[in-house]
Amino acid sequence: MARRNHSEMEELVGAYALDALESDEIEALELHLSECPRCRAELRDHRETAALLAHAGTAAPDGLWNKIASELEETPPDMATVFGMPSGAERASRVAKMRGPRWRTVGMAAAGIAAAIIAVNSALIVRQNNKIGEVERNQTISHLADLAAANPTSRIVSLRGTDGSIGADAVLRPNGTGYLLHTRLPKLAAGQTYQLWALVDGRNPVSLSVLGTKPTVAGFTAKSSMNQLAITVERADGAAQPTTSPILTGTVV
Amino acid sequence: MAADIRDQSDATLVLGIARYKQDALAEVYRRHAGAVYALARRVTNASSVAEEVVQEVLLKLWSNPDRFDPDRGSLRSFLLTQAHSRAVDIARSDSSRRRREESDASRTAKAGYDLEREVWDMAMAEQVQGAMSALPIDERKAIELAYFGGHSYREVATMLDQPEGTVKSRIRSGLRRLRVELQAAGIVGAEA
Repeated sequence: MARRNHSEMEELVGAYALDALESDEIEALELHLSECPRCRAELRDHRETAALLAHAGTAAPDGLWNKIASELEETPPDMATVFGMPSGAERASRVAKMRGPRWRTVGMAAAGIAAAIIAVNSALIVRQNNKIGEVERNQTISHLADLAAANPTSRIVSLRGTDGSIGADAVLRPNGTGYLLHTRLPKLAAGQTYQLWALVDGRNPVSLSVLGTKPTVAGFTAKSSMNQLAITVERADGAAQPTTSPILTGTVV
Repeated sequence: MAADIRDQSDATLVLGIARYKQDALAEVYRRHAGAVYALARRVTNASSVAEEVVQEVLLKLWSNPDRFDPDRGSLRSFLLTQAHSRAVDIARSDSSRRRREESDASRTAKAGYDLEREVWDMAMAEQVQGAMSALPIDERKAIELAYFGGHSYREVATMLDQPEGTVKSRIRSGLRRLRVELQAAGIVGAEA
């Protein structure tokens, strides 16, 4: 196969990231990618961007997890696997029934390195990747809440205590997404949690979120028919229906 | 404990999967299967095929967790990339199958789904939609037809009656522009 130059190849990276190349170009680009860190970096960026396009806010069908779980091996792993990464072939044999799909393998060149890192220094990997875990996700929700609050199409609801003081704000987006923010609630004792509810005319409470002992920011979805928000204190796992009187309430206008 | 595993980062879950911890795979499923399923369904236009894609992607992760390299991107991106590739393969190889869309949307269940993740997804989708609408229409159409339609850029060129080279460039420039828009909105790099 004749090699093509860098500028020809980099023009293909966007389409490749969207699986929009045809087979005659895939091979040439994959060869180029194996040698060109700049194009690999661009591919990674495009794929991350494409992944954001796929955000859908939906649930997988009921029962699908059970199908997957039924195909995993039933025998518990031996202790050796706790300290080392088994080979791919070894693991594949542990999947009870695998289909044989055609998988593209480019972009996985660093797999061996990743395996070595995980197997040799799992503590380092854990520490490194805690940086991109729940903390960052919470920061993202906080950021999205701020964006929503600044959007003129959002509705803002102040949740007030019985003395009239504001204890939290909620931001409601037209698509049903909402955020609780600016919370000023005291930390609860262990074994308790704040819980956010949606109500219609003061009735039919529906749980929106179990907020924990010291909520800062939280996201929720609510039906457009709800016209009131309330926060109660419940036992740690939350309740199906409120068991105490609301400490904060707010009317959606 | 369930509460502990929900606090773990995606990369830590993959480490758990490498140690044959099924609850780690279950947590990955809880966080990401909805998005993987939605993308596969959109590309293949068939719920049953989309379910197969989710199964394959998750079982691949179970068999080869070492193929996920956190330095190369998020787990969500990794799973979606594989799902998209597989969905496109199916859509292109079996065009009759994709027309077999069952009207089983009502089967979608909330059980076990990560509600917080759903909120996050919805909010992100809104931001991404805003960024997409800021793209020139030719770039937006090219990206949508390629990514969600599962078409090659050559097919897109035929559909839009535009030169192949132009479509190829528009996909690339559109993705770059989209990234800049999302960076400006503080979204890119925030993937968990």
